[in-house]
Amino acid sequence: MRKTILSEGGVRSPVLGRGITAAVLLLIGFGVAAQGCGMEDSAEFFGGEGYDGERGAPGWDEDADGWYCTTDGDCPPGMVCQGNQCVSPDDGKPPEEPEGHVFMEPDASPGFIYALSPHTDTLAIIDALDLAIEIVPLPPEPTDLSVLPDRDAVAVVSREGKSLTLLDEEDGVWRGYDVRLERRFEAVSVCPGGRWAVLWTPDGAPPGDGAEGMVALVDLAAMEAGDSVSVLEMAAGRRHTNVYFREDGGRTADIVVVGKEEIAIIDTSHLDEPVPARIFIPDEYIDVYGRQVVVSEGGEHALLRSFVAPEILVFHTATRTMTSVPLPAVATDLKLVRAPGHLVAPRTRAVVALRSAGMLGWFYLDEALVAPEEPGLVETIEMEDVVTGQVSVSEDGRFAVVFTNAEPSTTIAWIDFDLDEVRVFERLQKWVRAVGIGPDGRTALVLHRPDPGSTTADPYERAIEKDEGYSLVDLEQGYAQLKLTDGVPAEQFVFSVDGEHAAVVLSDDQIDHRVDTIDLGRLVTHTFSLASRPRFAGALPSGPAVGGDRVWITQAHPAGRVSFLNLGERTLRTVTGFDLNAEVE
Amino acid sequence: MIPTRLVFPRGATWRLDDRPCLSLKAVLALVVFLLASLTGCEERAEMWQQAVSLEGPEVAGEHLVWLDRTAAGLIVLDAAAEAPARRLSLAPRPRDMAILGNKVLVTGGSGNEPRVEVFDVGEEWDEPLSLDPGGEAFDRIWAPSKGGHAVLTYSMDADGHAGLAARNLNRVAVLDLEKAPPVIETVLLKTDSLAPREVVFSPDGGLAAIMLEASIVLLDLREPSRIVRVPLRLPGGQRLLPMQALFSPGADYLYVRAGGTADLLVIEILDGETLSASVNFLYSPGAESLSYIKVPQGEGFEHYVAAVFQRAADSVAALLHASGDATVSRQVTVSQRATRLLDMGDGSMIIHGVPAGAGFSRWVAGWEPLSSRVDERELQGTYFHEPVVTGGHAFFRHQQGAVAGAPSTAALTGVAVDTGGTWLRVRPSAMLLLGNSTAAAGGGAETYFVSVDVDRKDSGAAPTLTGQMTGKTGAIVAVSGSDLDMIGITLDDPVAQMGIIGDYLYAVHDRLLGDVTLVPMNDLSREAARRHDGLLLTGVLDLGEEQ
Repeated sequence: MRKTILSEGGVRSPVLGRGITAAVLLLIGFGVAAQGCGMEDSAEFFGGEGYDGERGAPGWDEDADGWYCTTDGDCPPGMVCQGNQCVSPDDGKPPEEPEGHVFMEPDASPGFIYALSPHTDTLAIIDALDLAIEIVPLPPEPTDLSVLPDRDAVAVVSREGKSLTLLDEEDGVWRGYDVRLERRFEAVSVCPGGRWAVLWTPDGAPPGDGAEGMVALVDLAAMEAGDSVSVLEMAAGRRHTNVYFREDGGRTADIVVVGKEEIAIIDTSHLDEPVPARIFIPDEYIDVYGRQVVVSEGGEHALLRSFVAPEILVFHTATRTMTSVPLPAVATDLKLVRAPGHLVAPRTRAVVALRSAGMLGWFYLDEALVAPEEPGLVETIEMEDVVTGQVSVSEDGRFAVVFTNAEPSTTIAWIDFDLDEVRVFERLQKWVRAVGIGPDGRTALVLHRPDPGSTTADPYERAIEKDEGYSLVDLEQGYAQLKLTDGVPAEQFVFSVDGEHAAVVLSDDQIDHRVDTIDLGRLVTHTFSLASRPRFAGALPSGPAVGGDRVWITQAHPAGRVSFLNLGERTLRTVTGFDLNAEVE
Repeated sequence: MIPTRLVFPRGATWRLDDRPCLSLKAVLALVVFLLASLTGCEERAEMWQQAVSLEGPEVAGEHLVWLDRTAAGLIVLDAAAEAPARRLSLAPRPRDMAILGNKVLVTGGSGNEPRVEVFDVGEEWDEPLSLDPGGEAFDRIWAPSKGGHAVLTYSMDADGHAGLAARNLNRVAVLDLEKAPPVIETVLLKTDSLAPREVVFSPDGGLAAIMLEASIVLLDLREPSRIVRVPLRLPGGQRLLPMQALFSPGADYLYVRAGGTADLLVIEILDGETLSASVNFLYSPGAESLSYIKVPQGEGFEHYVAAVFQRAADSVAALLHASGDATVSRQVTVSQRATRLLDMGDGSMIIHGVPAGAGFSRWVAGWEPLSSRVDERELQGTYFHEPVVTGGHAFFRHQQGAVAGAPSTAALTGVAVDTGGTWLRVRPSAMLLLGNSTAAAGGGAETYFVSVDVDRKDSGAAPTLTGQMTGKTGAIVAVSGSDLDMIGITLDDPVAQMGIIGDYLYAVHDRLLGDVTLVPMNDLSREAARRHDGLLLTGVLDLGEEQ
């Protein structure tokens, strides 16, 4: 693989690194697809569930962007306490802050967006084409929803109401089906085929009475058919972090519940078995804050990454077996991509950031399962000029961007797996906080963080370093366009479905809330003010009459608020009060 | 209460240059004596012992109308004719009056015999159309500027209801005068608010928005069963109190300013087979409160509403699209605290408010919403009165020079918005008034009228009824809204209230007795002016005779 260091947009010094030779491999990312069935990336526990919000008590310190500690015991396993901060013993750096800024809540189906309102016990269903809003009353305290794949239907669990509601649209009419649950569940996940819904309690949420470690299965197909529906409850360990489904021949074969110490597998062919099979998770992976679980397409494998072990644990769902893939160093990030091969079947590739070794590594799952310790299984590339803390992969799997936010850095690297090429961008003007790579892999959005203590002599440059902002990077041409945001941090970004536009959501937590539209081809931005604090953002699907350049942004408002941004036409329409509209009669 | 001034109990009329002689006054003094003697009559004593409760004058077509609650009468004066005023008898305990074209609508009635009476003052009949709305008499009656319907409501602070221990203040009634014969239909609003606070009407008068404490009810007046209740209660329980509501010209939107939110509520009205509505909130980023809303008139403003928002250090004037599309909305930031909007009718508006740290002075800004051009100016002086837009100017009455020991002088400032191809200027023009201004009239007309208190001596006014040339009298100044040219007329008493009725300007001198001068607007001369005194005592003696 060629390695090119780009500075100011020009090619400076190509360096050959260790490369791959199976040249024509296309990589397809499928992380978003995994989200639909609750295959969340548990790395969000950094800065998420583990954050206690107070400095002085052990936990994630948002101000310091680190894990505050007083002793090693305050840190997740595999980390040590140095200077009141948990760091890796390998390189003395804190853990990477996960990419919490690329936001796509799994609450949109092909034709609709769904916004839950636990306060009013309603679901707002927003038509993605004409933006008409329909309010559906629900049993008390709806807490989670899961969209049924490839159709306009959604399952909603109501915690206080102890019920599961299935809403299905046909010919413009929504029909609802309810089933009563025995316990209060917090979350719902629906399998890819849409037949099974699993009710569960994610770790961190208070379990309802008697719901500790319990999951419930509901046959959605039977609900829709109007048949008698029984809720099948099962004991499945404790502290569940992930639920996923293994598909086999177009049907859901296994329902998998990942707990703190065990993985419970429910065989849908043998639902009469009183207790699901359980597989113990090795000690190195039982700390829920320090591990990451990533699930492959179809649920065939679940990969676990941990701070403790320089390896990846691969769980093969069908055989209920685990395999360890040794790595040169502890992995600080893990991504799975689907790589369609030339004249060969698509293969799943795991990409790992090996920060302490200064490497990016990858291996193929099929090979790893056959000979996990085979020398050369894990291919790596040494990257001297960029810290390999995290990796972001394009949708087609061909490109990746490597970066770190664990330390001040103005460098990112772009990898083209097809051309075996690495380009290093080492002259971003500001520190990197998060990076998103465009759908086509040729543009990157870099969210910066300020350097409040900048002492740069040039007052203009100093002001830039102290300000908030983001950069648009043309990865092919090699130049970046900085956009300063007057002290308002960029919080999230969303790429539109058409891949030609993006939106960056900014908020100062007080009164200044904005969204910037970005023309990725021209690197030109436009700013719109938002009325209140943005919460979630996502891309709207395209349709026969509308293009794929629309984005929705929900915002904090007691009566519900969502804005629709047309990135191509640069129009912003805000709808507020849809919760209140439920009361209009 | 006994009037103590010399009055004309049947109402007396004369031209200003034909003041009654003293002998007539002596006769009239006798009448006053007779009036006073009425207090000794037990039957009349109740009437005279209670505080006089009057409402008016209101303008019904070419007529001035007063509601005399105390004596249960309606006093009607035809402005165009020289005929004396008429007193029309009402059902007992009249409570409220509304005007619908030439018709005067009165709600009243005693006990559980409620009445709604309709007088057509344009006709020469005195007998009202009397309708029974059922239940207990309504306290308020609301009518649009045009159309054939009115809405009757109860009032939360009304006293003396008919002995019932409880009232359902959500009960309203619709008076339909388009039907023959007219009918009244009762509607239960069924909201969790206690009572209606105000009723606003669509421009064609066919739709009513009844504003309650935490809800708005939309009512199709032609078919009152078509009703939509819009609760203004946020999830979590916070109530939004509607303060100001305006229909769009096509009645497809209702814009609402409400306490409890800095947003502007837009209720989209869907008038299909059923009446339905949906709510949206329009906003200005960073706004802390919404001060005022206005529906701009003219081309290019369809589905737009103008609003002024307060922020921490400044204000924002915004032209917001009802759809919530921010990209077709416009807004400008102005440096001072903006509180009101005036529509100049030519695509421009005047924003006005109070400059920082200056409690009674005024700050104005000319604003062209569609081009977002704005120009600000501070006005000197002390301002107490709401400005009036007439012709091409907004007229501000104020006091000038009341600082640093200088004597205070009444003044008038006309503010215009001048625009060119690339520029916009707000242009104030100051005018001195030779006395304190007491009332003003205008709006919709080309001429602005302001009344001023001047010394009677050498003013051209007649002496007082006791023959004195001392004290103050009133004068009216007419200011052209287009070029600010001024003419005037001196009247024989100070003016307390002014208004326009048809081609006439009316000036009320004494509100209690109903002393009124009518002046043709095209002939501001004492020769053409006509004075009516004691209008509110019209027919009082007849009442006594009836007793």
